Amino acid sequence: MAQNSTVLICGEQEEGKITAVTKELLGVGKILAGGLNGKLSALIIGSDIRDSGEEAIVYGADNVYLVEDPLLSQYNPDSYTTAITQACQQIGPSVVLLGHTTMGRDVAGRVAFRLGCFPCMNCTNLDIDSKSLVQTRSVYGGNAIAVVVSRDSQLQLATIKPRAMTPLEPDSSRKGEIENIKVKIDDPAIRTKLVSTTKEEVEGIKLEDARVIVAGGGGIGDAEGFQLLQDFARILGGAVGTTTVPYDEGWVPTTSMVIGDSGKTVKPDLYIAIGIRGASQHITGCSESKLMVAINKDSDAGIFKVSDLGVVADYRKVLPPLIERCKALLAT
Amino acid sequence: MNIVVCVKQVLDPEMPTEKFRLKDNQVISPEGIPLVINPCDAQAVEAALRVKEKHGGKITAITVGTDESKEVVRRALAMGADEGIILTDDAFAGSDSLATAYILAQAIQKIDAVDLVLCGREAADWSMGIVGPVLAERLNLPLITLAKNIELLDNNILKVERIIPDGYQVFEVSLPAVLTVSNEIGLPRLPTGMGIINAVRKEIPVWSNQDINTDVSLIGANAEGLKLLSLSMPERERKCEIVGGETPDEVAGNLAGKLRVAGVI
Amino acid sequence: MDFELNEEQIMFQDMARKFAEREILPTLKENVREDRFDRDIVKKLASQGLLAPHLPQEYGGLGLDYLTSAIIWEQLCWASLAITQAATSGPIQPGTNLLDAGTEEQKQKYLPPVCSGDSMLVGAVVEPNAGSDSSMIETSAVRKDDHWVINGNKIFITNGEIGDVILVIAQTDKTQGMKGLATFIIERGMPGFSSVPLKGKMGWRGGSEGNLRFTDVEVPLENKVGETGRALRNALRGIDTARLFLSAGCIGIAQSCLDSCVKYAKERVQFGKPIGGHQLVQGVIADMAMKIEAARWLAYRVADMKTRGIRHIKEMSCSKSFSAEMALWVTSQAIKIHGAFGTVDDYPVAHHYQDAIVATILGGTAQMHQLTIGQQLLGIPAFS
Repeated sequence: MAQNSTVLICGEQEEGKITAVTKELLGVGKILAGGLNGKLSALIIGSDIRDSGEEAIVYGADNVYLVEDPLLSQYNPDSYTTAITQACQQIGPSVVLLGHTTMGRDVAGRVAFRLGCFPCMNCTNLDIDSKSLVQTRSVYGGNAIAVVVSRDSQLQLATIKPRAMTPLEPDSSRKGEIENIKVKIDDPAIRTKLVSTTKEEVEGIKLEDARVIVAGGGGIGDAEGFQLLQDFARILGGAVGTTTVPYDEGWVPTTSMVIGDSGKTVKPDLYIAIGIRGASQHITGCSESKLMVAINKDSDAGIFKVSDLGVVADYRKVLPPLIERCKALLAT
Repeated sequence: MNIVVCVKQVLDPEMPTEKFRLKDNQVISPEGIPLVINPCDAQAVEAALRVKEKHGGKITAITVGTDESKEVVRRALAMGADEGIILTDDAFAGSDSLATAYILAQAIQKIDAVDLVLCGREAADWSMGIVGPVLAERLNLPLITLAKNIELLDNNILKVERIIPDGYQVFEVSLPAVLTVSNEIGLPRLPTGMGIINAVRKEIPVWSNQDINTDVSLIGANAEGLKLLSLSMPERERKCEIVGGETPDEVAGNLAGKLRVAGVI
Repeated sequence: MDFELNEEQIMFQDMARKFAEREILPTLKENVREDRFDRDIVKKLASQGLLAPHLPQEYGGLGLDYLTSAIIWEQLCWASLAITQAATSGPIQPGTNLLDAGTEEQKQKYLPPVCSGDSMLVGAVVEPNAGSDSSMIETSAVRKDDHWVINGNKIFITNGEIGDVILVIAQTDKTQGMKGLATFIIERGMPGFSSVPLKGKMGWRGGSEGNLRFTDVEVPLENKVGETGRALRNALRGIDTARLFLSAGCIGIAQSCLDSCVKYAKERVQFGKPIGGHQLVQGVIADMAMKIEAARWLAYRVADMKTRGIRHIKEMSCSKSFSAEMALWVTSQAIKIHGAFGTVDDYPVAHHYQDAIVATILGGTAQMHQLTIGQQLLGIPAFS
């Protein structure tokens, strides 16, 4: 594989629009391409994806490669692994970036193995230092930050943590070439079959989009407690999040509400952590919130160390009046 | 059903954050806090046990590590795994995820007629989550990651629910296959009394590189794909103002006022 | 001398503690408030392998040594002594009694279902007029042709109201005193046997106690356990095991109180600092830790002697009495450290305190154990 100084991002699209993480990939990819004096290319896979290609250019891609194939109309780990690998072999980039998404987590390791490089997963920052990709990532459940560099600088592959990097402002004056490339996918290579996809949509605002998040932890104690949190979130026009404990205990219906290492990363304006001890596995998912508020009856809880405002109290006593007070303030 | 579960020993992720210490770019194991089975790996063992309970079979727990790693294999045995294997060799020391997957693959190929290989979603230390995927590549087997539910259908087809951010996907895959198991599968069972008694008395075979013939140029510290530049503790501390009051209502009023002043409500 | 627990003991310690946290703690508050014993816990303990760790595997136990078994009890009682006592008392005293004195048929018939949690075994010794002094037992057993006829009352009987199989000590010949005592198996459903729950207890809440009445209960000859005159001797090893476990259980509840105090003393701020920063509070917490350490190592030592078959009458009395009195002191101090909060069941300390009081009486009062220790040292019995 002939390497050039191209940074190739593997974009994702949904119904003809590129996803948020794709824009973030383009944002960081642009910086890296600058560092390498190379160009930023985007790879998009699927069917009927030309519009996405154009959108990728608006968000910073110098050029776009489309892999259109009926076999790729739906995500499949086997066909996508094969397609991305072959595309990389044809394009010959020196850096390949994917989102740490449903797809990225699935295929990055395998693509890297097939290309003969080491994948660095879930990076929170990427930089170039004399041709090498400097990769920053959270380790030990958010207790530490590791900065690593690939030993082999020929080809470097990483996935980026969603919402960790900043997209460019869209600019429709950007121009770039859109090129179709062909890959060869054998039927026998597809060994897994996607039967169905079930969305467990939470009512109201999506966590990722919420400006205000009311999150509960093990201290909530039961499902009724979460009802109180729902009421509070509704008043504030926000969404309810959780640590892993309430999901494991069955107090919340879906894992899509989990914030932290094993769930989502959020950056709301206001994050109210209720009955949350403050394990770094959780904090790593919300530490970039603008204003952090903790309500916990244990004044020793680590959550207070990472909060701006704290209330040491049983949430069952303080939340009902707090809801009333906020309601009154919002009415004025 | 012949199941292999890959397990790893890690620093207890449940230990209090203040016990976490670094020195010279290395994590210091705090005294008095024993290493534990990686939580997602315990969940992989749990997943294997559920399959075995329904369909019968044999579970082998396998780890790459030192003599101390036998504890993590014993844990799996105590939960109900049937056999354990420890892969230990000076040549293995310092292996990264890619190399570990290679070592595991070489060992798994020595085990007869494996139908299913389970790994935890990721390890609680470096959280790369690539041992499972690379293992699948090495073994040339299909892979499904982030499984939260596993069901064996007729004709050796496995139905797997896979976690996605807002729900789950259902995949079908023919065995043999590799799965990574996510924490959503639920709390792993506790070992039983008989499980513990049998586990501590069981001879756990130790395989060295002689037994599995890896190419030593691809494993160990020298083959590491990444070089660590620095390891540091994140700066997350904020100055916390405790909002007080004589009654819950007063506290609530004070907090609501501060939120309004901050402009967030 | 090796003071390190082995791998097996560490695994049992960890597993029993997690079991207590998962299966006992979540419903403890309600069970204690309503003084309700949830029999499901017996089945759960059995399937976990924690119901009869000390009984041989051939009868459904685990065949563990006494130290490991005591460690299990310590960890279970960390959540609740009352519940652990009610759930596991069958395999302990009456179970050991049956194992020591029963025929093979009796053991095969009764022990496996007890170890699997399907049947609850009850030991019935204490009567209104016979507490520490068993020679006063008035429940009578009279031989009639092909059966025995039992009449009398038993009180303060663990699981008396719900047990399925009762091991009753009764007097066959009043003139013989201790030498007339014999043990009989009575099954629930035998005509003339009835029981009522014991209510209004100050401790042991969430456990299960009852009083028993036998009115002309006809018991088949094959239900007699061991020889007449050896009833108390046959019960001794089981009583000894119960004392060891009780000692370990007292350490468990004291440890739970210490854990709660350490946490609370760091959280609770008064006079401008966490109360743990006040010297008098620190002093009490330090004393708690000292006493718990001392009690624990004494109990572990006695458990080890018992496993090795070393005579340990004096040491067992030291351990049981010291642990129970230690627990009573630690739990009462723990309430004081928690202040008014300590008297409410949001914290574990009040429940443990109530159980500690009972634990000073069950398994022999401090005074009885003093006399035992005294006799062992002096060679002079203070009671006859």
